[in-house]
Amino acid sequence: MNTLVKDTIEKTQWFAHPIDTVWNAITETEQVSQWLVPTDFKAEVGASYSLKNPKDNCDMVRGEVLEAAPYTLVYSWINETCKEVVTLITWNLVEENNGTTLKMVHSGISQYDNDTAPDMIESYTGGWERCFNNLGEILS
Amino acid sequence: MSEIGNRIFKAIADPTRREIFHLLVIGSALSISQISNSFDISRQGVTKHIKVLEEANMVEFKTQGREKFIFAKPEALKEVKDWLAFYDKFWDDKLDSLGRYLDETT
Repeated sequence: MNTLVKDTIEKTQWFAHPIDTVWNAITETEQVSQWLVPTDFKAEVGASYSLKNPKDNCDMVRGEVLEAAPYTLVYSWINETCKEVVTLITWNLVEENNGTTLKMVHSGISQYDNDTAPDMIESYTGGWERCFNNLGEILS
Repeated sequence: MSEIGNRIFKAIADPTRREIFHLLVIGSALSISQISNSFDISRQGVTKHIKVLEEANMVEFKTQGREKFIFAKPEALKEVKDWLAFYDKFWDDKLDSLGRYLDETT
């Protein structure tokens, strides 16, 4: 991959908290709902989750947990209004300097299935702007 | 913008197309044969890739002399930049929120 068409977001942040505290905060339903968005998220491989719009209770983001073993968490992240773009969220925790370094990567515009994507794309009439607006609305 | 946006995402999903596009951006315009030689793929294969890039409005053909050359239109990547800008800010905000949550509850 070259940097010209970079399609990945990477964030690294250090927290003055034990690794298990941070791990629980990013994996437990109640806790994730506190700082991210109200969700039914469960950190079990194969479990699906959704982020709901509180206004109309419609799913805004959907996904499935692909990996959930301390201290790596991976799930897919699909905007309901842009279903053909399957992105991936990866969380990784490392104990460091009496705290925890968290690295998160949001990647995967490149996850297309090359055979089926063109048809879906041709029939698609929505747009990213709409996704952004809707998502911004509930996630802000 | 929606159609084009999706075509761009589709276009850059393929590593070979990324590389072809990259080469066109950092280098100069190239013919199908030149790309074919650089990547060791058939002219037919290159033509297919270029078609996808052209549909995404990422490249255009210009005839010079007898040959057709392919030019990159890197401004097409604005769509991808918008996507990244949105989520970049989103995750900054959410990680701040996670930090506050951790500080307050533990």
